[in-house]
Amino acid sequence: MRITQESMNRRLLGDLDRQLNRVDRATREMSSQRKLLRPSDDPVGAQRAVLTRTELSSIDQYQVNISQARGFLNTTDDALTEMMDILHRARELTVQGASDEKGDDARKNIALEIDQLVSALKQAGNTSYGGVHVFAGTLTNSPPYDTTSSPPVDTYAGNDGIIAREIGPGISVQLNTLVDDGTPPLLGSGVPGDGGLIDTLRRISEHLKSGTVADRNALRTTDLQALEGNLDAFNKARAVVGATSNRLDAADARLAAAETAATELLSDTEDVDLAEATLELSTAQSVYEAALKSGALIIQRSLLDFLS
Amino acid sequence: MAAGISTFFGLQTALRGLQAQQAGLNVTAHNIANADTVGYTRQNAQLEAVTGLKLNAGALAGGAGAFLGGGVDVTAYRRARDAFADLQYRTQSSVKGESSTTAQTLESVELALNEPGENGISTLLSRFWDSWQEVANHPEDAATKSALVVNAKALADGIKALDAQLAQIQAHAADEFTALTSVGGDILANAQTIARLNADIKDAVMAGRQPNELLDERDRLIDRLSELGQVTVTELGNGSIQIAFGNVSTPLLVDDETAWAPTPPATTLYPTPSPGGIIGALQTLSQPGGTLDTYRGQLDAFVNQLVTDVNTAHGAPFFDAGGLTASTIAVDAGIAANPSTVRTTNVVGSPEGANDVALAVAALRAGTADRGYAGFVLKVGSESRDAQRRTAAAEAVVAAAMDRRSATSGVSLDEEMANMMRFQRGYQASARTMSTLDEMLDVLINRTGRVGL
Repeated sequence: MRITQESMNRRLLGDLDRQLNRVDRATREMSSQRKLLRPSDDPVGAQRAVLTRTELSSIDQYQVNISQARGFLNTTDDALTEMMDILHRARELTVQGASDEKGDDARKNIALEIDQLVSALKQAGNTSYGGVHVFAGTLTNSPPYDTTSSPPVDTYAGNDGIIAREIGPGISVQLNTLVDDGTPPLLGSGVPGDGGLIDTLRRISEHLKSGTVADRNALRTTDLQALEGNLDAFNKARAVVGATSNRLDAADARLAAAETAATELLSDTEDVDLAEATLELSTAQSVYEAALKSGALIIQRSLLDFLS
Repeated sequence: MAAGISTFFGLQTALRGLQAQQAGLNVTAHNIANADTVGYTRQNAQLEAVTGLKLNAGALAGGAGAFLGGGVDVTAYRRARDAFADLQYRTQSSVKGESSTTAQTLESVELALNEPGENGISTLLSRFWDSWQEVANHPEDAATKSALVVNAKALADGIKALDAQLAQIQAHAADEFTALTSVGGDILANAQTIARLNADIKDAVMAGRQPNELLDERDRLIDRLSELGQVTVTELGNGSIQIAFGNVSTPLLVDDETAWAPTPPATTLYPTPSPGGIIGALQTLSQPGGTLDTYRGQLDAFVNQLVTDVNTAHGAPFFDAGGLTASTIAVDAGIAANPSTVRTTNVVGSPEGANDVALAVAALRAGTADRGYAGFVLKVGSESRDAQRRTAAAEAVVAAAMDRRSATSGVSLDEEMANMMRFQRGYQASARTMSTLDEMLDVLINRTGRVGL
């Protein structure tokens, strides 16, 4: 093939351009620490990166959800503990009040304390977490029990709505504990005879105040039995809260694992391998320099240099 | 010596030699001067021995006649041109023009997409879903709903901006197409110049001249046309040519007339198949149903899916129900004005703590809409990558065709130097012949007959 100065020049320029492009690419990868700069660099990788980013963002959100759910459950658990303490105290008082040795005055004093316990119970039922009343069902903005009126009103103002939290893709848990649901209900709606702890305590208080033989018998038998039933319900409720808490822990661990995997996948897809990029950059640079050098050598000489 | 040969015949022969070598040197000088001129074709002076002088019978010993050579003549200044290399170059030049224009345009699409990264639609979409989760966490909190509406607006704005950018890229391509094809555009301007050159070349050829520079100029213009679209050149036999352009049956120009002028070639002049070249790329990119139209359609499909899904799960318009395309997506006016009207529950009486609707909307994340968008990114990426690859391949082939062409037509300085020496020596030798003859004549004219003086 006949070679001319012009074609050599052009080829040299073309090669230099290609090498410089390579240097540019390697430099950009090094400085941005990313190998996926545009979708066309790796179309499938770009699609994966978009989906993985969404996944990572959702994992972050689920972790936020879990940490908030944990706060909600801890608050619920604390309140339930407080209620159970009240229940235990009420049981002691009931046993004392049922004794035939106590006089009417002493029984009335005990009845007054029981009434105080009901107030404390309703107070605990109004517990809120971050402005949300945890025992109000889904009517979370207002306290479910009235603690101010005199004479006291025991009506439950909440509902039996469920508050669910999503703690993973398609996995949601019930957070709130219903206090006016089941037989007997935990606290109850204040309607006489519903068997809730409030109802039981109000009945005990009445029995103590009237203090007839039948009442004292009732205190010893049916009322204590009712308290046992209430205690049972509370134990169950706390067990559920504990189990939910365990589910949160498990979900959290799963999310942490998923986050590691997704971060790794995203990094594999997008991030530059530093060793590889450094090698590529120095290779590209030396090839470019070699092309420059040989170009300078070739272009210098022609027959002209050797003619006198 | 035989009768019929002039005493000065040899002088004449030497003179022709001097003139021919000088002509050769002149051509060499012309070649060297144009070594870097774009489109220049190397020339050479074609030398031919002059028909001999017929000598009568008896000119040679034994009584035979003969021809006596009369020296040399320049018969032509030839262009060293390979028509096949031209054909190859022009075909590849169209391919390169088409793929590089496509690659450049798709690169702007990728820049508009801004994916993968922190500022693309996918990030806005993630934030949108996160906001729904937050609303599900705090359905009674007005602040989370406001944040949701802000993020939804940001998403809608981002999609609108992307669509506007795609529309702008499409409009740019269409404008460029019109600019190139309209009156005063590159195609017609080139065609008109070529038609004028055809007329000049025809005249020159008829007068027996060799219009090398005009031919070079014409070839250069055809090269430019071949980048714009597919070109078919037909020789008309008198030095003139006819050019068919862009797969259109009516030739762009015949001889010295531009067939398309003065009416600009309407877009309808380019039916399928594509005209090829830059024009072809611009047409494919900008025409209805073309590349960018398809992209915008896909973006519209994504928006349609997103708006429909969210509104269905929300149970009432969250996004404006009329805004089902990328250019019209908007947060419902009522919700935008009053974020607290975002529905979080279907439960009768709408207790403030219930979050079933918010959870249902949040569960749409990573659903059909998200995957549709990711698929869109994949499509743009692979098409752009494909165009880049085709450009690289076409560039390599064009470079090879150029090499092949310059192997024939290019000026090699070494070769010109060698030629220069050749002609110089030839000139010197011819001059020596002349002075030798002169000395001979000197003896004949000045010294003869002076014996004894």
